[in-house]
Amino acid sequence: MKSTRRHFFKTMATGAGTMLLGPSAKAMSSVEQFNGYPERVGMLVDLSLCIGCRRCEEACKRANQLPPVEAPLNDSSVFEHTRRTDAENYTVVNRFANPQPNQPAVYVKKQCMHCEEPACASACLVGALRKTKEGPVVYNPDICLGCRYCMIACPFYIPAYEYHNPTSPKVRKCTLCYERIKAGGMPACAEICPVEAITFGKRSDLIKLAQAQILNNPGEYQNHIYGLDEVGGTTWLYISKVPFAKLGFPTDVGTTPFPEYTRGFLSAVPVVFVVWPALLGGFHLFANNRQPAPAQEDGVTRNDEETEQ
Amino acid sequence: MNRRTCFFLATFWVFSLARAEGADRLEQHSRAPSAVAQPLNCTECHTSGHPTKSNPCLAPCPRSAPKQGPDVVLLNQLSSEYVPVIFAHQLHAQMTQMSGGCAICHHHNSANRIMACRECHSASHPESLAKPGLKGAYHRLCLNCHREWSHETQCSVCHARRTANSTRVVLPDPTDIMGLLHPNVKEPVIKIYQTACDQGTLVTFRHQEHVRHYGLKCATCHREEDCSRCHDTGLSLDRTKTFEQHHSPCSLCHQTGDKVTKACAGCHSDKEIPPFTHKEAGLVLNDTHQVAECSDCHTGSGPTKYRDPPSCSNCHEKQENISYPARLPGTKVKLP
Repeated sequence: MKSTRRHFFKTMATGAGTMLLGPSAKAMSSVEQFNGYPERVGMLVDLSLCIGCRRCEEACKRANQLPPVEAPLNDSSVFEHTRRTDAENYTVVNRFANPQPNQPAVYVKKQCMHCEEPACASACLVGALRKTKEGPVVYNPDICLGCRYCMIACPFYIPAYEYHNPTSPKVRKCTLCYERIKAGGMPACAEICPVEAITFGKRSDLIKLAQAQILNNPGEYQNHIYGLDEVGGTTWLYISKVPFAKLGFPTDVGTTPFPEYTRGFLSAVPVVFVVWPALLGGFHLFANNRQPAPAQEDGVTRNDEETEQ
Repeated sequence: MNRRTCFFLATFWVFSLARAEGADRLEQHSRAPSAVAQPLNCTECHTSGHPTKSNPCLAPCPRSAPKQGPDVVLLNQLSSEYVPVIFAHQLHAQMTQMSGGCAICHHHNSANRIMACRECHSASHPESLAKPGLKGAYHRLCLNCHREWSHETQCSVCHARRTANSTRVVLPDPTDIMGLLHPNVKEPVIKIYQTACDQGTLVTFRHQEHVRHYGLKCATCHREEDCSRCHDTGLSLDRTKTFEQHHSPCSLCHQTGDKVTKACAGCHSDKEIPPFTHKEAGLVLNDTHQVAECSDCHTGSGPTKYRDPPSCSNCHEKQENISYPARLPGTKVKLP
């Protein structure tokens, strides 16, 4: 009986310790320190080169077997409103006025940023979205529940849902042409771009290229590579001569990976489900086992004490 | 190991290092296209005898004048979807004389010959991320200027889509395309500049007179111009220039003075000055002579040629025996 009790306290102390340590995100992340696969790819956009021809939109639609572009490519009226990605447009180009007077407008291509630590994949209950080691964040429609948590989780409001499809709706977003990349090619948008404003390559090389471009043109570019640190880093990187805040880029997303915010809580969930039942069960067993025996034992002890006295 | 062996080994080591470095540099230069067949000649690419990495002193263009270049270049390396682009080379070369010169497009060129874009920019996947492919290189160069002045980035400005009927491209007559693409620039007679000076806000520039009398070429004064200066007339170019930059076209010949001497009144005035009439020279020309070009009578040389005695024999037969000032082409008036 004595050894059982000691064992029980030991277990309880361990459980309580785990519970205390569990919510500490830092303790967890120090264990899971991972800076991504070194060979992962990236896309660098030089916004000062983009001419807004929307050929990337067309190429994207062709590569993903989506319905053709609604407005013809030479119709500039599409730029009158800021557009969003949707289930049939994985990428859109928007026009922003140049804050510098008499300077040409700036065109910004928008699509899934393929975060280094994607919030969508972290929010997905079944792991239908996952970050591949090559870099793209890909989607598996076969296991998707349709909960659309990914759409709420995304810091860039990118994933879209096929609301028009009542039988088997899917979450839709840019795939970074994963199949083409695996086959040794490059994403369709990067391939078609006439001014090569989109450069496809290893992310580490692209960061060096972007830094060199900023350094070699002093005073021209913003000293910032968007996507280098935003939400913990993204596959798409942007450099610009106009401040990113003026080009519709969310600048308040921080540099902490979004899964980091919930990791502490989520990692405590298994602990709660394992340790709490064990703890309470232990209390229950302890209380149940104790009740019949103490009556005799106490009686004996008291009697002993009494006889001693 | 004795001292001699040590010295020998050290010397060998130093030499092998030097050789390795030299081989590296040669390998870099062997990539220059001119070095394929013949031995390296430094002056072929470098203007200075001591080029450095940071200042290589590369010769920009082997042609002394754009006239030596082709009139029209057919860009047909990437013409799968569109018919080849007819690039009016001569026209563009003439325009660049007013800003960056040939080197705007022919960058990093050897001084020996003009290199084709595709020699460095490959049509397939570029081998270096920092160097655009052929498609990107073409478009970036063209659109750099075109989007600035025309605000137009439509593909159809330069490209015609390839259809069943458009498989063959007929090169148009170069003189024809010049006329078609770029109508003759109309030279202004006078140009009135509104300046920001406190006194003498107006500067009248007798454009035509200057060009005719001094035999000026457009690029003599129009240097470092933007395309938008002529092409985007709605654009107000409020660039900040220094005093010297503002006056640089005039100070080629004129003493423009400076802020200290304030010799402004020569050009700056409060009223517009009418175009030149011969009356200012003290002689009102008669009807016949009013239509004559300045150079018909004033045939001297140098910037002050109009001060030389006019020659009448350019038009009049020798037998007529007409000479200045015995016979005047008009009536003399008193100068104010």
